[in-house]
Amino acid sequence: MITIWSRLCHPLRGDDFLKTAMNLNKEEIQYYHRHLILSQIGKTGQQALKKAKVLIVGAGGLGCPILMYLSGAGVGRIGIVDPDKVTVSNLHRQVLYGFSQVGEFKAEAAVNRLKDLNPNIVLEAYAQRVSPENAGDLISQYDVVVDATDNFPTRYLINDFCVYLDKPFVSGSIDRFQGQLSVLNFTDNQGKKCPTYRCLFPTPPAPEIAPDCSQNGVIGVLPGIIGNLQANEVIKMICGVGEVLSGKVLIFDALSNQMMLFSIQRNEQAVQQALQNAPDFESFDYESFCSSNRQKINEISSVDLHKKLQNNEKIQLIDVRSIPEFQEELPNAVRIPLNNLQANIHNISKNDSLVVFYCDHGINSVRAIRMLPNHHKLKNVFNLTGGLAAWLKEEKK
Amino acid sequence: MLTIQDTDNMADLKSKLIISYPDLKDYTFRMAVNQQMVEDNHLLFDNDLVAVMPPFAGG
Repeated sequence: MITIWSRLCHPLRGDDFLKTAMNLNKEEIQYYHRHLILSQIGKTGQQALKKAKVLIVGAGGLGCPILMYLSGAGVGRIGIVDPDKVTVSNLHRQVLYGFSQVGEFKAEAAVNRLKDLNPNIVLEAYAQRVSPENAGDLISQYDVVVDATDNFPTRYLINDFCVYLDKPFVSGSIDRFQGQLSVLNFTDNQGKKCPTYRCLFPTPPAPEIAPDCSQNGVIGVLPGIIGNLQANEVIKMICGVGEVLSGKVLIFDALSNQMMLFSIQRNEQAVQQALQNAPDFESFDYESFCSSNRQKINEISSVDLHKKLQNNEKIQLIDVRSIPEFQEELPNAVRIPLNNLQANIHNISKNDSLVVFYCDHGINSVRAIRMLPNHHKLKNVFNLTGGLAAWLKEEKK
Repeated sequence: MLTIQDTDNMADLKSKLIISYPDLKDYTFRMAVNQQMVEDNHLLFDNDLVAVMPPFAGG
């Protein structure tokens, strides 16, 4: 139920308002004034926001605007899940952070900034990866989940837990100049169950087919636009106003300014796929589920590669980066950028006991291995798991 | 804008697209006709507007 305030009976005039505002203190009334005078939000909506509990998974490009605006909007309890630390290459779009937070956990840096933005809300930092082991505990504590992650295993995991625990979630994703957005697993006011992520995409793509921002690039403003649209859906859902973006997916193109809505149907078979592992989600490996439709590629961890290099094993290292994110490189690596690979295939040795491809994050190097002609697809070709990012992390230990 | 003739349903269109764009066969994508997501057995008619939508990973 939404209270309608007319301009003639301004909500801030008179003691009646203060009495009925019950759980909003004087400072909050000032803080949320521009919300309180909106007929669609008003006191009822603001109290609903204060009571609401929202979990934001991912405090990166999408997560930053979502966190800032939901904190400003007065969502009473906000959980922030992200295992990563702030890096310099985050800052051009993750504007919640600055140089002084580089190296800090994003979840913790975000809480420190947001409690200054709005001291009247509860913020909880979870500097950990959301996994089948912790997702149930985390998600069950909140009313709404926001998917602001950067990988498919986590997107399917969030979907499956939200379906199992009957929570709506707002999904956003970005690639270069385009974004996608939808409110999924929502129950409408007639009690009808709406589509889920698996109804939209029943089968996941292989990671190297749908790379993330660190591989493909992204214009800095794009997560700002899509993240704010996600925050707007959260607010509408909580306040019960407007039309929730459910049963539809919105596509935005920053180059043409085209915004298109596509309607989607709930697919019960796909929904059941989400529930097939419930409640024993721990036994389900989302990583391999998201790469199972592709031929397996040999992977080598930073630890194992380090050991082999120390033992002076004959290893050829191929660096496929074009514009490196990290200045460091592995010793004696041959540099063959992905886009020049075909022309430089002859530089890849067939005699070394091991050929290890690497890049910044271990995704473009998989693409490179898949581009090798058949006679090169030897048993001794490996991908450095997690790329230089993982290698450098290991080195710091 | 791409004009395709003699195409019956989405599965048919998909296989024709893969002939013109071989890389598509490795991709996961959904197709929409006139802004409605459809399955492979959906029939196509003259002047239908078809959109191809891959999932995005980035966040």
